[in-house]
Amino acid sequence: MKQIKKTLPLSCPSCASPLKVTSLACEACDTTVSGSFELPLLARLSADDLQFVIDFVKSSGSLKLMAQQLGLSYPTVRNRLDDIIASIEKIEKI
Amino acid sequence: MNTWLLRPFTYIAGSKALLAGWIVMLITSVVAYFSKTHFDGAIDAHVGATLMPYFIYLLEAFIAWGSMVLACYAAAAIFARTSFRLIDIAGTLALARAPLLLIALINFAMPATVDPTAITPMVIVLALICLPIFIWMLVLMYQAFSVSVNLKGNKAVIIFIVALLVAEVFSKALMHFTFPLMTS
Repeated sequence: MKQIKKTLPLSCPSCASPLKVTSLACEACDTTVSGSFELPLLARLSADDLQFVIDFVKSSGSLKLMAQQLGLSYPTVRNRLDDIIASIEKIEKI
Repeated sequence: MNTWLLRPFTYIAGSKALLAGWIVMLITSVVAYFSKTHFDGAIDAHVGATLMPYFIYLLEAFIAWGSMVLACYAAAAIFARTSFRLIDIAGTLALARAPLLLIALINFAMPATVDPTAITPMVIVLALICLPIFIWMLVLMYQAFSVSVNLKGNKAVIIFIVALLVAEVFSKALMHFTFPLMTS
């Protein structure tokens, strides 16, 4: 059977408000923790943006190295980072 | 393929683009010399009736490019919200002028027309062939500006058009005042 790749939903499909974590479960012992927890800031980025941040950290914060690895120009990679910074600032304001 | 034709600066910028752009500008100036094509302005292309010294064709290319770089850098310094590098503006704008090589080549077949009444169907056909190439260059120049300084949308288009007009006036004035001194 083909495995479905699940993505973390970030906003409510009904009203588009940011979603919160209300339940966490341990698969080993079936313990469930309930409450209302905020998603970490980075987890609220889109999957592509989060992957970019991970790649950025892995390349020691070198945009030049990232540009080489991705086969993109330096300003393209820097613009992507600037856009993610803008997204983070927008999330922080919510 | 489309991305490489219309948005090449997604993949190439900075010193690599500058070197490639300068090489293409150099080749274009040699071809322009033999086809008597003058790129005498930031966005100009004319066929001249008389042959000028080669250095004029080379200077025209560098003045036109330099004017665009200065105008776009000044515009970016005023309007860009994020950091940018001069080398990206200079490099991408140099490479964006590559389509002019095609215009210089096409102009081998273009007769110099001084009198508007003497325009032949051949001139019109060649001008129509050059038009999309010219538009392609403008698209590349806009993309060069947009990618280099991270400006997008209507605001970026308006800023680019103003920078283009400033560069055109500046380059024309510079050539008008300096070339007579060099050729006399």
